[in-house]
Amino acid sequence: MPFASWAQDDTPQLTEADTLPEPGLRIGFNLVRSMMVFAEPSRFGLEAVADYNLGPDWFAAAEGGFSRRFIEEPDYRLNENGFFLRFGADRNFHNHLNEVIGLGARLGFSLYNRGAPFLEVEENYWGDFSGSLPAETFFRQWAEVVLTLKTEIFSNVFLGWSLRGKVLLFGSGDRHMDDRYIPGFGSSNVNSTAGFDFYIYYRIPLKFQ
Amino acid sequence: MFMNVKQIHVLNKNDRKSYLFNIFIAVVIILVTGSCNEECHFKPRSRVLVNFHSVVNSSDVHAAVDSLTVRGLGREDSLLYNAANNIRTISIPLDGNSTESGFIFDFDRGSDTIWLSYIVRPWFLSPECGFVLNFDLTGTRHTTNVVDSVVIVVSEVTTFDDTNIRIYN
Repeated sequence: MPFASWAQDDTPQLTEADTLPEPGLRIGFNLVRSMMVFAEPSRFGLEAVADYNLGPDWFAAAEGGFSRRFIEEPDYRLNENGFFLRFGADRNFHNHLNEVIGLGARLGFSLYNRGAPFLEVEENYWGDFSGSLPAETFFRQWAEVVLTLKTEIFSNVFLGWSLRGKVLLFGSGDRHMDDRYIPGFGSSNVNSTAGFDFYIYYRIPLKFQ
Repeated sequence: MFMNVKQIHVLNKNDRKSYLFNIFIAVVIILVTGSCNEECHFKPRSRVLVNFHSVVNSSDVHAAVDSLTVRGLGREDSLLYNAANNIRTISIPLDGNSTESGFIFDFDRGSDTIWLSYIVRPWFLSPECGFVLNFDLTGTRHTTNVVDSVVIVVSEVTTFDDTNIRIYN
């Protein structure tokens, strides 16, 4: 058999299917959010994420978690607790096996409460103020644009980054402070903010017959 | 719907080292940025900004007053302004432990007392600086020896430099 013919027969031929991502439910964990407690002990939060192939280029995404912040200073105490959910989809612009360069959108919802059981404000002329703010519950919504990158580092194990631009939607927040901290949205003095997160994922393989 | 694709793209050892390095860098960034404890370098106070006005030839004039002494009602021993001259604007503190503060204004032509009613609204400035007291002005009343009228211009008394009331005399 001529050499050229032998080489042609044994060369693996990639098909279109080889460039499609494997189907599966990918679940993940936000490493940034859970590690923040080491840098800022007053804050603690967890976030789980999941995505699922809707087709070769589209992923449905759901993200949720909770966060808690407790600040205790000589002149005040502040308690914040809240849950959040985000729903949306990503489009994968990188048609390669098990890698995602995605651009997507999310709608986010947060239910949280905040209160200051003790606060003191120094006032030289009339005398110091001492009081409290009863805990109030707030519900805020926002929209996000998300840029995501995910790469498989081991079989079915992925690492990923996400950059997010977020804009608060209708509704008003606390009358006693800027929306400095909304669970799932982040910190901001204005109606928009940006976020960065780092995730680890595990894909549960789903085989279709 | 989906085809069972044989995986052919896996990271080699160098790629994995690169990703582990990225994780390390991310952890360092988070810890460094998060552990930078900021301090409260300046804690502003919310004060009522008062402008003095007169009506001259049917025109509203931002006017100056002379020999102005101001003190809080009940705090007559402590002066906020003492015989100050050429004063167009003053700032006065409100009592956070009450819903009304009174002030005695001594002008060169006589004295008046002005009471300001308000709602106290604690405002969280930042984790470093804590709370300040903001106020929502709800009303005024005054004696009429020198003062003709008192007008609320901006009812929210905050740390911003908004003129809150005008005193016409």
